[in-house]
Amino acid sequence: MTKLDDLLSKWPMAERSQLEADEAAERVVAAIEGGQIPASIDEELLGAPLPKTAEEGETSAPPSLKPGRAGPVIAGVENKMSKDRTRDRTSFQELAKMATTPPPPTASQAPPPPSASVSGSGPAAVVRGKEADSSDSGIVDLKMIASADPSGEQRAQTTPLAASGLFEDEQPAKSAPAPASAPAATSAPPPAAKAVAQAAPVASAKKAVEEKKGGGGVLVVLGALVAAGAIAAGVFFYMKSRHAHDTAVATTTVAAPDKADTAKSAAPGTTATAAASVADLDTPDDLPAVDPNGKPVAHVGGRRHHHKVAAPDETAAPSATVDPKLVANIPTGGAGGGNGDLNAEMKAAAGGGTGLGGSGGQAAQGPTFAPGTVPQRPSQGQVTGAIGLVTPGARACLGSDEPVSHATITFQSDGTVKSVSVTGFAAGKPQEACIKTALSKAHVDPFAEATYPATISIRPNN
Amino acid sequence: MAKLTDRELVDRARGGDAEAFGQLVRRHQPRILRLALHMLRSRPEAEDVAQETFIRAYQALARFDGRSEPYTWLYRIAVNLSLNTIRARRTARTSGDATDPRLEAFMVESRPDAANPSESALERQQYKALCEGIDGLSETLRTTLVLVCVDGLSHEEASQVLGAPEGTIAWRVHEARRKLREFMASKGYKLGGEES
Repeated sequence: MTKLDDLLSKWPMAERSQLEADEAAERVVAAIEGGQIPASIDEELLGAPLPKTAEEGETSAPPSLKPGRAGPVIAGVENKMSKDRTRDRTSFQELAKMATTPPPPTASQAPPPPSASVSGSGPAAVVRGKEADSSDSGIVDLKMIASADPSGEQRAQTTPLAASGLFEDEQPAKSAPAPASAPAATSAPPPAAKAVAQAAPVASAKKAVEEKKGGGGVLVVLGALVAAGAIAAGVFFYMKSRHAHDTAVATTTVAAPDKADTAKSAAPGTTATAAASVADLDTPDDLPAVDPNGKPVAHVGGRRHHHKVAAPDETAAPSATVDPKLVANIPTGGAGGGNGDLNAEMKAAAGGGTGLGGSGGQAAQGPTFAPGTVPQRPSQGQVTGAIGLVTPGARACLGSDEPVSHATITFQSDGTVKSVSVTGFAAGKPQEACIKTALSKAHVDPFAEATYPATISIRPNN
Repeated sequence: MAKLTDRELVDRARGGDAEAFGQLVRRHQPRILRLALHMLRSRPEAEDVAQETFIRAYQALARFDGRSEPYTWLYRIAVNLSLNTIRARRTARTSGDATDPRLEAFMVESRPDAANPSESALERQQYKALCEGIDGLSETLRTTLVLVCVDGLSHEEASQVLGAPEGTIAWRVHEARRKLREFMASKGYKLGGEES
C-alpha cells in the first residue's frame, strides 16, 4: 500500500536544466545590479504569512528562533518588548518584596532633626524617618518612634487624655494610663518642638472629639427621624389593619336563620328598642343594627355595613375580636344565662328560658332591670323568633306575583299582639285582613314597657 | 570559490558581493520555485515569484538578523509573495488540468525514460487526485503541508517560516494528512498511514 507521505515527499517535478537555473540567477543578479529593486521594503513580506485559525490551539510554545511576526527585522522589536515584560515582572516582584519587607530597623539610626521631622502643629507629631521623603510606605513604626523618644512612654503616663474635660458629665480625669495611641501622639522628642508636639495632639484630639460630637448630633437627629418614620409607618399599618379588622367584624355574615330556628341566631342580647325593626327573614339585609337607645346603628367604624343574621356558630367566632364599642352594646348574659353564655341566651331567645331578669351581666348602656322582674322590652331574638313563626302564614296571604307589603306589629306588655297595621300592596285589600290575622298570633314574653312595635316586610311565597 | 555556507554568502552579499548573492540564488531557487509551483499551480507566476523572492530578499538583507537559516527567511518571503499572488487573482485555478505544473513530470514527452507508460498514467492519475485533494485544503493547511510533506522542511523550520509554534505546525500537518487521506479514499485510493 502506498503511503501518503511517500507520494508527497517524492513528488516528481519537471527537471530544470542547469542552464535555466543559471539564467534565472543571472536575471536576479542583473536586476540587483541594475538597480531594479523597489526602494521601499514591503514589511508584509517579512511577516508571518498565515494567521492562526480559530480551530488551532496553542499546543506548544513558539519556536525559540521564531523571527516574530515581522520576521527577523521585527524580531528586535519583539525582543525589546519581551525585555520590557521581563522588567515589568521584575518590577512587580520588587513591589511584592517591598510590601512584605518590614520597615528597616531604625534603632541604630539617629533620630532625624526636629526641624525635618516636625512640621507645623498638626499631626506631624509622629517622627518620620528620612526615607519618608522619597518613599513613604505609610507604615508607622512604633518601635522607631519609641526609640526616638525614650521619655515618651513616661510622658504618656502622666499626660492627661486630650478628650478629658470636654464634657461636663465626665468624671474628673483619672490618673489612669493614657491609651495606646498616646505614645505616638506625644512622641515628639526635641525640646524645640516639644511644646508644639504636646499641644498638637490635644488640639487635634479636641477637634476630633468636637467633630465626633457634631457628627453624633447629626446621627441622633437622623436616628430620631428614622424612629419617627418607623413609628408613623407602624401607626399607619396598625390603623390599616384595625380598619380592615373592623370591616371584617362589621361584615361578618350572619346567615339567615332557617324558619323558626332563626330566632336563636340574632346577636345575643342585642338591645333592640321600640324603633328597631325586624327584617323579614328572607331579607336579612333589612335587619338593622340597633344601639342601646333603640336607634338603628347603621355605621360601624364610620361606614355603613350590612348585617346579616348569623348562624350561632358563626356569630360566636368573631366575638373574640369584636370591636369594644360593639361589645359594649351587647348585654352579656342578658337573657338570664351565665355571663356571656350564648346557649342560654339563645335558649331564652327561643322562648324556652325563664331566667329573664336573672343575674346576668348588664350592658354598659343597655336597659337595666332588676333580677326577677320582666325585661324592659322584648329581646330582638325573641321578637324575631315570634315573628318568624307567624310570617309564613302572612306570606301565604299574598299571591306569588304580588308585590311586597309591610306590616307593623305592636306588642303589648303581656307579650301579645296589640295591633297590626299593614301598608304597601296589601293595604286596603282583602289580603290585609288575612295578614293581620296571621301576624296577630305572634307572642313574646312579657316586658315592662307598654308596647313594642316591630316592622316586617312580607313577600309572597315563591 | 570554495563552497560557502548560506550565512557566509549572506554576509558577503551584505558587503556588496553580488556574485555571492547570485550563488545563493542558484542554490535555493529550485526549492523556492517548487514551492511556488505547488502554491500557485502556474509556472509563469511561480517563476515570477521565485525571482521576486530573491530580489526582495536582497533588498532586505540588512534586516536579516541571522537568528534563522537564510533559506527559511527566503521561504517566508516566497510564501508571502505566493499568497499575495493568489489573493490578487480574479479567477480560481482548476485543479489537475493539463497546464498544472505539478503534473508536468508525468508528461510522456518529459519523461522519456518512463519504463511503463500505463503505469506512469496511473501514477499521474493518482497525483492528479492528490492535486485535487491538496487544493481542497484550506490555505493554511495547504501551505503547511507543502512545506513539510512536499518540500521536506522539519516542523521547526516550518514554524520559523510560518511564524507559528511547532505544535501548531504538527496539528496542521496531521489535519491536512487526515483530510487528504479521506479525500483520496473517496477517490478510490487507499493510502497507508503517515510517516513521522
